[in-house]
Amino acid sequence: MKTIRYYAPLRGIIKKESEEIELSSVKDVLHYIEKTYGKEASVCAKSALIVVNDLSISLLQGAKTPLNDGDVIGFLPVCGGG
Amino acid sequence: MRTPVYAIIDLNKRTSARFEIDESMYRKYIGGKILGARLLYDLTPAGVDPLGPDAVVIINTSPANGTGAPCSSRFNMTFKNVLTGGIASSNCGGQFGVLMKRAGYDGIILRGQSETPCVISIVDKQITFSDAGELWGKDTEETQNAFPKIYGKLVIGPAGENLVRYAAAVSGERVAGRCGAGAVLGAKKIKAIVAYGTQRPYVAKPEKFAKYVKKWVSFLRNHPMTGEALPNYGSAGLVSKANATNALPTHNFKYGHFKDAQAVSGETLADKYLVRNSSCISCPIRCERRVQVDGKEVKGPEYETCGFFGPNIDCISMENMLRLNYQCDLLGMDTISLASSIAFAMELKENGLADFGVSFGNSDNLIEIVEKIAAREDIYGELANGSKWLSEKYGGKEYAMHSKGLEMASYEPRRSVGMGLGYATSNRGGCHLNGGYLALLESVGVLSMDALSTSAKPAFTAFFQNALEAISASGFCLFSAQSFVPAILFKLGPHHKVTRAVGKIATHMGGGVRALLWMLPILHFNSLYLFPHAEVLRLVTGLPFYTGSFVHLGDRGYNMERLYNFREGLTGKDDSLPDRLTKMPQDPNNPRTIVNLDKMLPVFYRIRGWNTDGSPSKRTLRKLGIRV
Repeated sequence: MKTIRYYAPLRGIIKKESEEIELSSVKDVLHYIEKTYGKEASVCAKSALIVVNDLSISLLQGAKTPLNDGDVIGFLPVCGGG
Repeated sequence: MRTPVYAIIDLNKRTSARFEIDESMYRKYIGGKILGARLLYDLTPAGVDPLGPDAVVIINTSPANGTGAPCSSRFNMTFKNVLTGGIASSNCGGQFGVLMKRAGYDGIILRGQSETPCVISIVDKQITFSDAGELWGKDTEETQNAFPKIYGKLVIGPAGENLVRYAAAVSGERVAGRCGAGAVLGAKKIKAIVAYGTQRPYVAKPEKFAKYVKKWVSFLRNHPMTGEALPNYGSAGLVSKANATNALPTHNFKYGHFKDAQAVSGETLADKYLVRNSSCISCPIRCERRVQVDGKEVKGPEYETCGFFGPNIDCISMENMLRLNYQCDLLGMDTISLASSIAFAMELKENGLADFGVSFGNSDNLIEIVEKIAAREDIYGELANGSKWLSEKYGGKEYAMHSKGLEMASYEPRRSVGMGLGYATSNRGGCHLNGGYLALLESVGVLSMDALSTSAKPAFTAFFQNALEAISASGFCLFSAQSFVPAILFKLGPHHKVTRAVGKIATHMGGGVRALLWMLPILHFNSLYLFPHAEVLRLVTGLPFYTGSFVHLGDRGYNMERLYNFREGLTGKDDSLPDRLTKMPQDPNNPRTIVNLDKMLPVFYRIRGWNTDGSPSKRTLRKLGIRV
């Protein structure tokens, strides 16, 4: 089982903080979001900083990043400035 | 045109004299940190003790302060850096600057040393002195509460009184944190400076100014960064971003990723602890976090504090962090230098070199220890000297995380090598902002240049050091510049092919940025999308500021600061980083995960027009119109 964690603004659309899924890659998760929650959620998810176990998928295999049992996929808001 | 009015305050005699800044100096150096650097250079002899009676402290504003322009309330303190021995400029968003300006002074210059603790009052052009009496020894909140609410206040706490080298000066709940701003006031025995007045700031073209400000406010409110991300998560939102790219200092910068970082992230702060957000005067961004500590609403932590009292000491207690953040404000201490010194002490203990009673993974005893550091009690007085001093006494220089003596901010430069170059060359020491803040383009923003590539980083660093210098000296918060990354990239997101392509192109745009630096004299335009600050400066001062001349102003300021550093004995050899960052790859399997300063520095010097020893060349000084 894998866990998806949603943060603002995606959380506001999906109305969930997290959920458990059984999918095998980040791409599958993006398809799942589009199919389950609609276009707006899909656009928002794709523009988020997507992390697997707190690491950006840019440092992994992008959307093709495989998911293993116990993995946590996060959709973080993009921001910067400190 | 109106030239700035300053007061020179002699603390030995407790007298003051009003004077106007010469017009040609004003045109060249404008205000804030840039004018401050020029004045400090001219008014102090070489080799002065930063905490001695001959030291000078300049507290000044900028033309845009108090005008109502967005994010324009910030004032500046310039003095000899207590930690590095070079230049120090410390910037603060409190009300003091605006109120000092309304009281009739654009800046004050403090000389000498009061015999007894004192308070300086600046009310409607009148400057008076009084004894601090029982205020000496009080924390920053109690001290400020002793004065009328409508006053702007700048005070120190016990840390400043006890000359903690990284003591801060506090205005409201805002802090001039870095470089020992509180210590230099403490050395002069100044407990508080308060200001009040009703004079309106000068605006050369008020109607055009009002229209432009309206447009700029609307732009900031509609930009995803300044209108959504920063208001929602504050700077603390960066914790998870830095962690996602291995750029979050962990275990005293040994690693760049902390598995429990979410516990101390901006998202957790927003979900569980945030009471509301707030702002400085005239700021539409509202990044300030309001939280509760022991049932009292106080200012919440910034990103640096979350990083340093969290992952960098292997701790996950948000409650402890909120309390430590508040306590540092009360005592008047910079959270970056303090927490980084504590992390260094933890590693000293881990390696059996010294034991200050602090250990990685435990922040429960830090409240008590921080009190002792502020009081310089027992052995904790040594922690009050900063990590450079500690490493010279106990060893561990290769992991004392400072540059020139100032502790670095919370960005792991082995995953943001341009930020590493910035830390090394920053005039005030290991500062991300004075260093050009390339981390925003490399590791924590939406746009990601190749964070490990040294290509283009020297050019980008020089450009952004100059730009941020000018923005700061004009009186603006640097967050107001974050809207320069096009909104469309936020909508597409960091993983979109267009965003990635832009990042890739930027990685190879060194030549283009160098050309831009050469073309400054012909960049005779202003744009809301690039540096709206230049247009506001033009409308406020009536002087011909455009994108090119604005960045050129920053270049002049940066070189002026550099000249001061060289006069005080710092050289190109001090453009350095600890061995942990330059010789030990963050990822042992990836040799690129180091900061290759040897490769970047010579290119950087050439771009800046500096000699091979890092000093500004005569030609560069002539080009910038700097005479020394």
